[in-house]
Amino acid sequence: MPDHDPSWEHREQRFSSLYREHYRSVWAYSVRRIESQADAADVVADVFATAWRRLPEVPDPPADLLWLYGVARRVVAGKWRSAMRMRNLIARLQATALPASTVTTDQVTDRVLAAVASLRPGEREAIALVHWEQLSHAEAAQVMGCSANAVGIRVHRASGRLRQALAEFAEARPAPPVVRNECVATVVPDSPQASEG
Amino acid sequence: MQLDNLLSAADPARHAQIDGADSARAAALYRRIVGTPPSRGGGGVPTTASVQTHRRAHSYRQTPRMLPRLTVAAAVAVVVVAAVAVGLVVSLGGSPAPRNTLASGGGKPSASPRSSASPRPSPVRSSPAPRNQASPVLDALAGVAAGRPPTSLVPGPGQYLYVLDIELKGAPPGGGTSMPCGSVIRQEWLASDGSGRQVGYSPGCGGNGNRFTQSWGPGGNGINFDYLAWQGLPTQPSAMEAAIVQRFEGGHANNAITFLLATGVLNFAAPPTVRSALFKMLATLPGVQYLGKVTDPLGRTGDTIGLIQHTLSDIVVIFDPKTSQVLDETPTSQSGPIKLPRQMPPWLAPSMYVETGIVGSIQAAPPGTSKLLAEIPYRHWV
Repeated sequence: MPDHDPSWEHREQRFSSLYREHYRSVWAYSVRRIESQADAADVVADVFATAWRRLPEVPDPPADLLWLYGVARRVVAGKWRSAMRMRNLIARLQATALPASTVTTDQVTDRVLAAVASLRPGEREAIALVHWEQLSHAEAAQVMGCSANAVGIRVHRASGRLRQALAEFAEARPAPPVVRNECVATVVPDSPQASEG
Repeated sequence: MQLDNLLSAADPARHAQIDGADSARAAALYRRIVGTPPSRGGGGVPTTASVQTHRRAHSYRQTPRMLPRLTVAAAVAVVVVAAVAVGLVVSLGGSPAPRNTLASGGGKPSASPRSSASPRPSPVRSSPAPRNQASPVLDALAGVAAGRPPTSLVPGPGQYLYVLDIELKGAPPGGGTSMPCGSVIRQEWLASDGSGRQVGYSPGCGGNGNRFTQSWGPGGNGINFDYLAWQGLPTQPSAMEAAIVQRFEGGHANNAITFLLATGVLNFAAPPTVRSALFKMLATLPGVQYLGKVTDPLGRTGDTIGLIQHTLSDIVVIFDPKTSQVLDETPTSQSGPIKLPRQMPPWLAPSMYVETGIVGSIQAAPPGTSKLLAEIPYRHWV
C-alpha cells in the first residue's frame, strides 16, 4: 500500500473529491436510465472504477461531471443492449394502449416513462440530459459526443414524439416531421465515449 | 399539463432511494475502488452537504423506488393465468410441456377485449375470422413452416439454444460518423430452465468497452420473453391467440403486442407446428399487411409483413419464403403509406437473425458460425 507516496495521496485526494461531489449525481443518472437498483449500483461502481483508473484523463470541474456522465452513458448502453428488444417494444405499446379515462397519477408517470423509453436512443438520452440532468445543450453535447445543434434537434424531435404519445396530457403542439436520417453525431475528440474503454 | 412538467414529475430519480456519498454503501464502494479507507488522503468519507455544492438542486423524495411496474404487472398476470393454464393445455391441445410458469400453457379462451387502440373481438370465435390483406402470403408461410423438418430447438439437459443476431443502429446515408458503438453482434445461450448467457460485440468501438456479457440463473433474465416462450402454446390458431393474450397481454388483447410476439420471439425458434399456427393466426389479425419483397443488408430477400398503425411501435418483419424463418425486424415510423426500399439500407436499423441451433455448452456455437461471422460485412455498417 503506497501510504507514503505523495503522488498516490494526491491521486486519492482528487478521486475523493470527485467521488464526494458527484456520487449522488451519477446515482441519479443511473436510476433514470435503469429500472433495477442493483443494475444502477453496478453502473455507479463501473463509472467510478473507470474514473479511478483513468483519473489523469478526468477534466477539471465543472467538466468532470460531464466526463462521468459520458462514462455512465457507455456503461448504461451496454446494459441496454443486454436486454431483449421485446421489452422495449412492450413499453412502447403500453405508452399508447392504456385508456386515458382510467389513469391515475402513477399511471401518468408510467406512461410518461414508457413514452420516454419509446424514443430512439439518441433522442431519449438528449431529453433526459436536458430535462432530468438539467444540462444545457452544449453540456449534453459534450456528454453525447455530438454538436450542441445535434442535441437541439434531438430534443426537438423527442419533444414532438412525446407530445404525440402523451397527447391527452401534454399541451398540443404540432409535431415535427419524422425524418429517417438520424442526426449525425460529431464525435468530440476529447469526449469520454470516444475514448472510454 | 406542459410536457416539461410531465417529465419533471416522472423523473425516476425523484422516486428513487438515492444514496448519499456518506452512506455505508458509498463508503464500501469507495474502499473497493481505491483499496484504502476513504478517510485517508484528506478526502474522507464524502459528505452529503458537500455533494450539493455546485449542483443544481434536486428534490429527491426518499421513498422506495417504484419497482419496474411492467415486470410486476406481467408477473401478476402470469400468476393469474398459471392458475387456469394446466387444464387448458389438455383441453386445447398443446405444444411440448412447459418449462416454467411463463410457459405453462394457454389462457382461458374467454372474452379478451382488445385495447381501445386496436379493438378486436374475442380471439376464440365460432365462425371463421375475417382474413387480412397479408393472408395469402401468411398462408404460404404457414405451409412452408409446416413442411420444415421437425427438428426441435428445445435444449435438453446440458444443452443450450443458441441464437445469433445483429442489431444495426443506423450509419446514415452519405457517410458521416454514426454514434459510437452503435451496432451490436449478439449471441445468446438459453437453457431449458431459463438460465442463460449473452455476449455482445460492438465493432464500432475500440478498447474494452466494445464487448459486454451477462449471465443469469434459472430464474431467467428478468424479462418475460425469450426464445423458448412458445412452449405450452396450443397449436390451434384461435386457441393459440387466446393463450398469447392471456399469457403475455394480461388478458387485454392488443394487436400490436400479438403481432410482435407472433412474428418475433415466439416464432424464431419454435417447432414447425407452432410456427405454422402462428402464421395462420397472423392471417386473421386485423391490420396486418404484406409490404412486398425486400433484400436486407446481408443480401437475403424475403417477404415483408407489417402491422402498421402509425404509432411509435410499428415494426415490419421479413420472412424467408423458402424456409419461413424470420430474417429481420426493423422499425418504421412513416406517417403515410409504408413504402420500403427493395434494398434495405443499414440505416433503417434492422435486427437481423443470423443463426440458431442447439449446442452442448454455454460457450459453443453451431458448426460454421465462425465462418459466418467472419463473412459478415459489419465493418461497413458501424
